[in-house]
Amino acid sequence: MIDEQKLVAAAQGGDLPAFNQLVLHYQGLAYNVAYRVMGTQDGAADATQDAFLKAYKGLHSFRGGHFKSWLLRIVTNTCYDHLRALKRRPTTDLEDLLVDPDHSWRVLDPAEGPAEHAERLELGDLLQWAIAQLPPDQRAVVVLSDIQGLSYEEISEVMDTSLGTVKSRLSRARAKLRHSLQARQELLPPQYRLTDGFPS
Amino acid sequence: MTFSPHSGARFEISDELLSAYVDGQVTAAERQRVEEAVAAAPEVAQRLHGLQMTVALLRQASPAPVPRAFVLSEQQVLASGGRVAGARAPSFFTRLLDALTPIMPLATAAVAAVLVLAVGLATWPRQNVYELASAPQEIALAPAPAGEMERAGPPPQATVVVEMAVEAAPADGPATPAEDQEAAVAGGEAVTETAMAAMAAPEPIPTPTPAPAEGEGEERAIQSRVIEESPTTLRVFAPTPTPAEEQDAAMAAQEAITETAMAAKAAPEPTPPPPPASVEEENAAVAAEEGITETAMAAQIAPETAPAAEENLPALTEEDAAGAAQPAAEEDARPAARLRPLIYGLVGLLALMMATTLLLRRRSAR
Repeated sequence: MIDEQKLVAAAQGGDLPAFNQLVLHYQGLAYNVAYRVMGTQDGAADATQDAFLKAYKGLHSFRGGHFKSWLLRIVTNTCYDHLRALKRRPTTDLEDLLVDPDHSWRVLDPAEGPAEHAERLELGDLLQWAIAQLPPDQRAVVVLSDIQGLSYEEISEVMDTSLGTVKSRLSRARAKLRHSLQARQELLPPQYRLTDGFPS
Repeated sequence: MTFSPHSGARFEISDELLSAYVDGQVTAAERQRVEEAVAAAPEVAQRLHGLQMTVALLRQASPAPVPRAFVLSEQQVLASGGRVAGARAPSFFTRLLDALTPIMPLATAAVAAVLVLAVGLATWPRQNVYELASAPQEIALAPAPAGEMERAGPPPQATVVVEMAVEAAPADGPATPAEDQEAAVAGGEAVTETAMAAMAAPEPIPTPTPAPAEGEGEERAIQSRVIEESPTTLRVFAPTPTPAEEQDAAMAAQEAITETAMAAKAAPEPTPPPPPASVEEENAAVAAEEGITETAMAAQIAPETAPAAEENLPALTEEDAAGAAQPAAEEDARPAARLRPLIYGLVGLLALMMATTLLLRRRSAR
């Protein structure tokens, strides 16, 4: 367990190794949020690296509180900036970018059978596609809540919005996801099919 | 907000409330309200089920493995303007190289484009003049030499300078420059009269008269030279004359020349004090300008007179075309000469920039 406050204080004094310990601790979370919001491995890596650099340079503005929430706010805002930049000079279809066929999680897990592996890949692609249909603010809320498991309070701190806004954004995001997944329910595992008892 | 017609307004449960219920983010009263609605209204129960399945699916999403460590290097932080305790700030030279690295290839390409443009500008005008000089069926009137152009002041659009080589009478003594100028003015007027006469009397004259003997000592030659001083070429289109027409026109011209010579000779009296040289030159230029206009009109309107003009012109035109080709080429070679230092400079700069780009690329590869 790291002493977060101590490391933050040291990093604020220009101690780069101390900040790098924080990086190593939070890089998995930061990268996963960036990956779900950005949709591609390269885009997520760029956004994550950029966010950590911004965080180090902006540490003087951190006035205490939850470092994790403060860091994730920088990550999500950096993702928004990168998405805006991508929209200004699109090189390929953004929707295509949001499903990355070369992501390293496709590597076969030795403990996983071929059928499970294929099922996991299909489900991962389907979820990423469905998330990509959402606007960026709803995308971030649903990723933070349903994939990263943050509480409403933490999300409101990360997004710098009220609890009510978090609730409504999450509700709208889930409703859209439900419709997107329902449209491709044949790709879902049987236990997750939404047809049974689900109004069309 | 969702309203169920089957279950009534009592079970009106919004998506937002159901979503919060799934997350356990509701008050006790809200929880009780949702549970009552789910128990009483199958539609609310189905919506809740769909929402729960969606959230469960999202929670099944595998975490993405981190492709690399995102730890920051000292160089990364310093290059972005950050501060690292105990680290030395990069030197000015290092920061300059860092700043130049991304823009150098673009700047090199821009210099190459300017170089190509300069070479194009230096070579284009000369080709243009050669094309014009070799145009057939046109009387190409070459620009006057630079000296004449300077004397004439700012060039009009087209000027006919009529040179009259008039030998002054022995009593008059050698002609002064002022007298020469006046003679030129008179000559210009005479040419104008010639053209008008040719227009007014297009009928053929039976026999051509040779050069009058009485004027032999006084006038040796009258030459009309049409010189174009403007950059554009004055083109006089004339139909090919028949021999008879040539004779007629030559005679008419000769008569006019004789009158001109007489007029020049008949005015030996002292003239009023000559105006300053510049005024004289202006007068000459104006008279000559009028002359060319009228001569050109005459040549176009009365084709009969064209042979007469051509009799005088061919020798002059060929001579001028040959003589003026050289100054014309020199004139047009001037832009190339002016651009040469620029081109050499650009070539040097381009070589320097290409070398710098290669060095910067090697540096960033390290």
